[in-house]
Amino acid sequence: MKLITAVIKPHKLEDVRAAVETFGVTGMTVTEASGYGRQKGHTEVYRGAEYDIALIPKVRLEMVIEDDECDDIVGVIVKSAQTGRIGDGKVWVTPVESVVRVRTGDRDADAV
Amino acid sequence: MTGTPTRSEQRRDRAATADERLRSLWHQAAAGVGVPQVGVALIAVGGYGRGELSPSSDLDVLLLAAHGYDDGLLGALASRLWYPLWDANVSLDHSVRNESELRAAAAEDLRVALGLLDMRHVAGDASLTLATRSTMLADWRRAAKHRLPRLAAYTRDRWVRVGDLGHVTTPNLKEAHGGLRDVTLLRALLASWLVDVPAAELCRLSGELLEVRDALHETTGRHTDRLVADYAAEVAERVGLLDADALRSSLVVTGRSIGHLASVALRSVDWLLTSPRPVGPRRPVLEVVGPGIAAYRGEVVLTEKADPARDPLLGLRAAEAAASRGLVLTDAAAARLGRELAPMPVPWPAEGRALFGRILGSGPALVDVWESLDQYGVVECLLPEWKRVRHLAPQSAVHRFTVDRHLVETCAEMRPFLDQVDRSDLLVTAALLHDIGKGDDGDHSEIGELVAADIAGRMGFGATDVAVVARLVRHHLLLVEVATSQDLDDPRTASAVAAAVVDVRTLALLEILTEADALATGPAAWSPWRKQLVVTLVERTRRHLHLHVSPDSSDRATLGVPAWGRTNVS
Repeated sequence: MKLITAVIKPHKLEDVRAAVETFGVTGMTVTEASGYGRQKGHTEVYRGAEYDIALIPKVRLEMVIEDDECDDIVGVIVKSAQTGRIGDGKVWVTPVESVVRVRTGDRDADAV
Repeated sequence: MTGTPTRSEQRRDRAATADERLRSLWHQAAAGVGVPQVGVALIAVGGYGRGELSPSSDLDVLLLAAHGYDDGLLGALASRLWYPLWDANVSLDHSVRNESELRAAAAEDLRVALGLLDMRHVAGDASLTLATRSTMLADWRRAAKHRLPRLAAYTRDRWVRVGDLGHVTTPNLKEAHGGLRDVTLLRALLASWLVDVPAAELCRLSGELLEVRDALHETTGRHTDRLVADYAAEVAERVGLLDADALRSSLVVTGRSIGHLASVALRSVDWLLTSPRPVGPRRPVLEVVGPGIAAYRGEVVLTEKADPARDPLLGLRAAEAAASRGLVLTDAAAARLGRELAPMPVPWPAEGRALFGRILGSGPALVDVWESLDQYGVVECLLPEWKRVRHLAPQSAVHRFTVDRHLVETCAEMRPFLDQVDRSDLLVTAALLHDIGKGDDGDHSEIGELVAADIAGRMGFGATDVAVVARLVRHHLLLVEVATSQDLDDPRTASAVAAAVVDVRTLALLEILTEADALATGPAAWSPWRKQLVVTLVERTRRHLHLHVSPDSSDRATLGVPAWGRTNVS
């Protein structure tokens, strides 16, 4: 099993969610996140005062999936989150040793 | 003829059963240890002392010994009393003290002092219980002026920490503002002889809350005061209400009434403790603050010259006098206004609009003043539409307050921003009305736009101003919705928002309304993450409006959000 983590632009959340859902992913964790990469921050003016936006708002998605689906789902996320502009985000994959569904005690593939 | 006992009778029966059990244990223990029956007593305190035992309530008991009583005998007696109860899984809250220890504990800990005001003899030396009860009451009255400031601070801290009974998502029947702890507070204030409290009304309200708590214990099978949403439907059914919404509405009314009594009582305490002792004749000295209105003891009262039946602006003038000075309206004044106030002419006179704007823009002082006006029907007299949202439960767990209270809190949150705009009157009017469309099927922003326009017109605003208020209500969710769901780097996003808000001035009003609305909703609604997105959107929209005098309204359709405000998050 793999944990896919994606940090994307907030307005792309619905597109990504719909895309992975059609691919059979039925659950994910979504968190408000802030950060920066090559995009860096910028300065806005808010009620007359300069406002330094060093950390840019993103959303962070996490989903655990079976090994054989990983490449396809990463591809779907990248395609649906892409705007082609700087700041589109990152997707990374990490191995998962074990998963347990709290309600039933099901493990691993049965718990995903 | 005997029927099923009421819950009130069941509470008394539980207390009587517990008394019998403790008396039986007492006789066995006293005989076993061979203690003298004079100079030692078993006493019920707290809720048990008042005979208010809910199904899973603790037994609060005190084993009291007179001075000079043998410590060894007392310890042996305590062991023989408590162990059988522990072995039987009875939830016991116990203490063993002699008279001087008891007085010291009461002086040290306010909650101990409050619990001891409800002492009731169970077993042993009844004269010791009687004498100690008298001593504790006398101590309480003697030391009231020193203890009440601590009690007031502790209570207000609890109100902030736990929230209002009727306005929080998971109400705490005991600790919330308007909960059972406030009933205990009011009884203690009554016992101090410093503050008067309507005792019969308090008894009725307390009975209503105890009913709900009994039903909660029956539902959960355990000692809890938190009405978790999962249990609300069953609790409602047990107390004979239709559903969870009906239970919440009932709690709003009860909690508001108890909370109002507690707030008024604490204000009286504040005044008593901070005002110099009057010299000379003891007649009230009124500080006249307007025609028919005076300030007295930290409250605003109506003077003998006041004639609400002939002066439709009197209610607004009194409320403005209170809110602008950080005072409150007396219950008597609010009640008289509710009974006698003449209907406001339509359209409202300019003075009425100005007063209303100043009241709504008065900041946190607005909340108590509005509560008084609403309690006695003055708000509905001015704005009949208010009943649409009065006591209306929030549909989202993000919200801290009922809809009506949320509207008032939004106005209060606006105070720091009002000097940044030239038309704060339009802003606070829109803030008060932004969720007025809730409670009906359909988009509350769209419904609210129509209702708000109607009200603003009746208030005497000109057509342009009415349009601004209506637009603010219609689009009060626009900035947050677009900022969190649309591509802010796409120029069409700012263009579409510009088309909706029309001009820079409305945008400035809308960004303040957005922030105040979110702050009044709850911490999750105005996270740094959301604020940053909104800041970016506002700035880009402002730039767009400066560059394009006439924004292209056709851009609205390109975002796929033709009716702004679809998501019901506010």
